[in-house]
Amino acid sequence: MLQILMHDFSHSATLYAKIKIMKVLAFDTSNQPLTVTLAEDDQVKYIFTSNVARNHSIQLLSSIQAAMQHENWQFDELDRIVVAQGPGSFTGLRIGVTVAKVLANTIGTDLIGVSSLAILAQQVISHKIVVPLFNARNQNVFAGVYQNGINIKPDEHQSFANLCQWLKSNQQLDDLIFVGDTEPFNDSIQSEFPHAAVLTAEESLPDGKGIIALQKNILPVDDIDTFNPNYLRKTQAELNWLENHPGQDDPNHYVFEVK
Amino acid sequence: MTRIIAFESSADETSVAIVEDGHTVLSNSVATQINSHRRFGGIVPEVASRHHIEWITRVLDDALKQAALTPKDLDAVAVTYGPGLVGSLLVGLMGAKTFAMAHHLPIVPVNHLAGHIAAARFAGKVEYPAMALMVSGGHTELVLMREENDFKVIGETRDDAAGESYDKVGRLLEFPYPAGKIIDDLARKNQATVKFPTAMAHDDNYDFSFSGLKSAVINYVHNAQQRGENLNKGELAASFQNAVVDALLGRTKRALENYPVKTFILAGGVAANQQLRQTLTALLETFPETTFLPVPMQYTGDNAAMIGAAGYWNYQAGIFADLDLNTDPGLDFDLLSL
Repeated sequence: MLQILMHDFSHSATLYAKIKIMKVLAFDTSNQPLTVTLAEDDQVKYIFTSNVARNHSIQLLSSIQAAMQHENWQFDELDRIVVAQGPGSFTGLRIGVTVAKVLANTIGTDLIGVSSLAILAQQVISHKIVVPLFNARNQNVFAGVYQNGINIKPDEHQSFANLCQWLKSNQQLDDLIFVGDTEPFNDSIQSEFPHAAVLTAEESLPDGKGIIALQKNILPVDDIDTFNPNYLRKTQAELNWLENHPGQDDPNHYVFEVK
Repeated sequence: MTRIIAFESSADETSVAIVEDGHTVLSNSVATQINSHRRFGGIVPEVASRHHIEWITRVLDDALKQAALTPKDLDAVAVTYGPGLVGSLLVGLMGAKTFAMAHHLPIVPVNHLAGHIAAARFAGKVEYPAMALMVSGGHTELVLMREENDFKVIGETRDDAAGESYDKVGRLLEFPYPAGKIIDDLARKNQATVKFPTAMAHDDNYDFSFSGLKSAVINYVHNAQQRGENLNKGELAASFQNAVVDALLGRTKRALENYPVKTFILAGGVAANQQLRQTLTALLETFPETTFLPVPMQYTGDNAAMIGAAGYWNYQAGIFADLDLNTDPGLDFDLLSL
């Protein structure tokens, strides 16, 4: 770099931009586990994980502050805020996404959302097909299908039966790995896919590294204001209303600023 | 000079405001979800929480822009931590704590009800002892303040809040949600023709009850419908509102007789009711030692400016919270112990 600087000063700014280290703060509150990670580019510097059933609303910000103090980073040095955007617990997602939005907005930094299911899939080191899932009750799941880090079936709210059907008609049955909230579906998995590997929730806790590996290939959002959790499910009240009021949905006028 | 940025999201309004010294509003940005919840005839908590997160950064930007200030110009962050809907409260709480963390500002926790009462500061100075009639969709109570930042309940509703009874009667009469303003407007244009009972009018306390009145209105409407009579909604609205205002007035009069105060505050969403404001103005004329301080119309509904006003009282009293501050959906004032 010194040589380049001596030879041609005009290129130094470009070069500097390329080698500038990106300071990344990432967190995941999409389910019971909490992770806070600091990284420089994709080099993880600090990880905090907790799987205690404690309110994320109490723990998240003090965990972020402790991480920043541990690395002696200032908030205005951050280049990227990364958050697990969903699916997951609606409350957990709102806690993470509110913090991410307000922090990115107020310090003026980039904001990146990562799929909570992709984070789980990322942690499985295998070339097999990975099926991360969260329990959505009533035999439903939030699930996607991933292979080698590529999303081959989008994250969706679906019945577990439909997911099985899709897997059977599209994939080689022996090469499946289920991760996440697998316990409630263990019997079905064993009978439908006897050769599949199954990791329990405890065995597939977010480790804080997957989110860092994923964020580097994701572009920051254009508009922080319109960044919201990926709930992947409308509320029951809205579903019922839409059924009785076809064609009357008017989302741009539901909320307005009082003048 | 103390500048406080305040966050409020306890129900269906997302709001951020900047208030100077607890009484001068530099900005007050409010996003209301009223059109959304009108679809369901009332607030749906999960829908409300989703709207809050859609609007939190917009109202924050707007509040700073309106006041033409940057975070460096601020001294503290006040936030409603209860009472309210837990999912709604969480968005404002996390937003406020994040803003405070990023800019190294102290966090001031605020009781939403104290906020409603503190909005009287936008009308004038509060002299102590003071009393407040706090009437909203979730609360109806008489609050005694023997000194600044000291709130003791001397009477409260035993069942429905006054605003809740407006919404229920409004639904019965097929008015759009929220029905308070519609009923008030109709009531003032029509004669009360039905004498509905004013609950607990003779009891020896300061408590309220509105469920009996609600049932009486429902029975009246059902009987009329069974007889195939045409309902005069205007007369019914006037009759219902008279009963509500009578109940509020009777309790307030008794409380003022037994607890002489220098300032009497009317606060909460129902404080926008014109008939209530007028009758209380007339009542307070018979208490010449007491100044009537109704919250200005534009601050009767939920807004963050009032949280900034109450936050200033807490700031001065040295009441601060850490980053682990959580919501308290059932937060209330203590009862006055005699």
